[in-house]
Amino acid sequence: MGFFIENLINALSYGAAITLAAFSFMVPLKATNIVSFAQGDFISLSAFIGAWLITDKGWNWSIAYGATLVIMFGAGVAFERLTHGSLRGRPVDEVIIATLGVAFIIRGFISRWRGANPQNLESPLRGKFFTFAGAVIPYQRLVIIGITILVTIVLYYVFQRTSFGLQLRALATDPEVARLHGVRTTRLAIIAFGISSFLCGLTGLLVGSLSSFDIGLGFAIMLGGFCAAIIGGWGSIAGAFVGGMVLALIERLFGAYYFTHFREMLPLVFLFLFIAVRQRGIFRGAESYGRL
Amino acid sequence: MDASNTFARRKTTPGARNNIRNIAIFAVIAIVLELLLGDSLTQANLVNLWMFYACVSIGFYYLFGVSGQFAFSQAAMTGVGAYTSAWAARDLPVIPAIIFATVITAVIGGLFVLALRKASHFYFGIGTLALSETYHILALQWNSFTGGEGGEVYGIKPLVLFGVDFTGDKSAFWLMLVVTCGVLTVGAMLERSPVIRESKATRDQRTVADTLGIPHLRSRVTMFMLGSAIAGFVGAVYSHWKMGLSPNTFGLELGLGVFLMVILGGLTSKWGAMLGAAFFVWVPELISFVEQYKLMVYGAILLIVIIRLPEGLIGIEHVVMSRLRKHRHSGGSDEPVSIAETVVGDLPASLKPTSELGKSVILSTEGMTVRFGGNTAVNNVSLELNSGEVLGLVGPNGSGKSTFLNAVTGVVAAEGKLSIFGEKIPLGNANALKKAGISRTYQAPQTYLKLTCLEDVLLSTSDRKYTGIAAAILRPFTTLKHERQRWAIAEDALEWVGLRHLADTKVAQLTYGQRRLLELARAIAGRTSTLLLDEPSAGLNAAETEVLGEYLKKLHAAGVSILIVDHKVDFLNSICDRIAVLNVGNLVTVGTPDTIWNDARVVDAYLGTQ
Repeated sequence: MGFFIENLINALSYGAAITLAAFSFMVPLKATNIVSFAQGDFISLSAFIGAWLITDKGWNWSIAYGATLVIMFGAGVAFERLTHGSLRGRPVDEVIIATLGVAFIIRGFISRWRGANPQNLESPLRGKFFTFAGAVIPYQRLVIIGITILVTIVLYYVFQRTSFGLQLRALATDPEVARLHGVRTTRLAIIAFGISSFLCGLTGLLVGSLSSFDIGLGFAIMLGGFCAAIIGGWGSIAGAFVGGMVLALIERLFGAYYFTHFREMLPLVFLFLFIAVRQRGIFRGAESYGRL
Repeated sequence: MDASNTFARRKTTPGARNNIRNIAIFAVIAIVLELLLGDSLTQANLVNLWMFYACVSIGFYYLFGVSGQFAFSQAAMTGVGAYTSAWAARDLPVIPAIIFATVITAVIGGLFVLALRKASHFYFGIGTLALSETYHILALQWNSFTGGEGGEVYGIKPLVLFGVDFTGDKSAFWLMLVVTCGVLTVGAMLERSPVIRESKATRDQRTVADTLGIPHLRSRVTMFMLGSAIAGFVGAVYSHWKMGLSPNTFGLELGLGVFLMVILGGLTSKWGAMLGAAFFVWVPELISFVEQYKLMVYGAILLIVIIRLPEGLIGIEHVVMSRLRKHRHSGGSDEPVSIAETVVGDLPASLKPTSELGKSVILSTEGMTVRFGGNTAVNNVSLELNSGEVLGLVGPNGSGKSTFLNAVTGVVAAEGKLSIFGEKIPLGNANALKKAGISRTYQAPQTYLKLTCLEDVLLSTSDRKYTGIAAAILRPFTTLKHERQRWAIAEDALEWVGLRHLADTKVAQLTYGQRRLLELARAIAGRTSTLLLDEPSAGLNAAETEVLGEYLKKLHAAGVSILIVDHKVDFLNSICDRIAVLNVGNLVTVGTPDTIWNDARVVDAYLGTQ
């Protein structure tokens, strides 16, 4: 029983992390139709910055976390200006390749800056846990799940109920018409990329403080995020949440018992099946389906 | 034979003309590099690595640049080839192992595309990312297959031919030179066949390619298989050359590196990939600063090239060359001739419909209905097109004329029955129409901006024998013979519409009116018996419309049947045998031009009820 509960919590917190990553794809996708391949490296970057501020600079964790998130938002804005902003009117493929270029740069920067050594990110809950029915449950994992649920609710509210969300959805449906109706597309795109990067930062800080990490931290989460977003049907907030959880349960819970060696392949197989058979996912994100 | 004598019959496509020369130049450059650098151990290795990367990225050029499939799997496919060949060589001699690995990689690639045939662009890309990750996990974990802990394999059987061991840098150079020239030769054969231009057509506008009778799935699958097979092949060769493998050799860095190589070099030709590979290999070696900051520099270069130099390094050469050429030609006679001054000749025999049709119904619809959501755009329209007639289709804006044409040609989903020569065919089958000799044009000319005029017209030629990749490689001379016949027909078509002098010009440089004529040339190059024209006079002035009318009369005289959608009443009256009127999706009436405009229902449709 203890083994099961441990794996369940493990799976749910992993699912929460990839849900956050999936959100970080969806926000700019809604605004600009661009899928960024740099998100994984943004996730790594935020964990590295956090670790640097706390360990090397001796900052208090709360200030360091806040500063990291602010830096990440700024990095997202710069990212938009560099890729989407400077490639206005060019084929989507070219913008996506530009995001690959940025991914290269961040990755190269991190490995130059911090090397390949494993890093540790302090957090007040790090290493603290309680036991329940024989299962060891770290508080940090519960925090990840809690924050993700909070973010899901906030994003859902923002997309469905605010003017900002309405403008984003208008932009997703028809950019030309949205522009003619006074939606400030440039500003919206900048904000969307900022939020996206902020979400990456949140993911990096939350996952990075679970255990020691290295430069490969973000890539696995990014791939999971892709899977979650597709299973959920690109564009649907609730769908991405469910997609992330389903995927995590399959990989971490089912994979804890069966196919242990190849469990990392399970989500890939799942992703593959979805793309081949049911591209629009479980929840059809009507407004963005077909635009990819 | 008139003006056509001033042009020599072409022997080879413009892009392919320099292939043999360029392959020779490449071989000379490689040999010179080897002689200069061969004594320093690392540099000799770099020449070999350059050729290895060049092959991988040429494969990627075909599947990403030519076929437009966004794929992250190229490095993984190289790895699949390498590990498969190492595995097979445990029981087989090396050469059969390499062949086996190449076939396996191609099959995996082909099955992959088939499985994801319905996936749209970026889902497909993410699918290839999953494929690449799957490879990586298997290489790390599947020890019984790879034959080494964590994919680290040593002691792979070396390639020994005629007593020469091809593992040393010196001997491996000759091996890689032969491999690279082989890959380039295959590329040259494809460029002389329809394979490349049909892939580009599928890449740029899939629906138009469908109506031209180009099987788009076949094109995608073969190009992906080709790209994967090249990667698998050189990967297999690599494993026997190095005698050892590590999963990271074909990891993320190479996966992203192939993007850098083809984009930096230029996506427009395989030589761009070679140039990019040279950069990828030598720049970090020559500038030690770059070696330290390798990934960052690669990323920055990728960004700068995309933003400032989208054509890549090859593009610089094109810019320079075209400047030089312009300079040489200054004062030449390449000024565009206005369409209005064209003298329209008879349709040449090579373009006339292949068979006399006699009196028959070519195309008939029964109860054709198209709905967009709750809106019925075409409602229960039954219409017949007889052989040898020009049938006009008119109606106010939004009456469903173009939609009707799109429904017939399978561009939009519709309900109803469609028969061709009395035979029922399922709706949405663009290919069946093309096979029956029915071609169409579009309201906005759908020409291929990135192809030359000749290539664009060639897309619709009716001879579809020897168009596949297998024919291009196994029967290159028969393929070329058929290509020459197609060139002749396409040139006749261009000649007839007065665009022959622009045969080798990119379509993007044409004026709007010229694109209209090009589309007409393309439609008739298929020796078509029936033309479906969607507002051919849109955007043309009065004089140009008159010339268009002359063309249509000549086609009519040659026995081509025409269904024409248009707005210009005088124009239609001058060419049509019958005119059908649509209003709000309903067929109002069909009749001769004299009677139809006096019909009260037609007047109502245009002017409203009195």
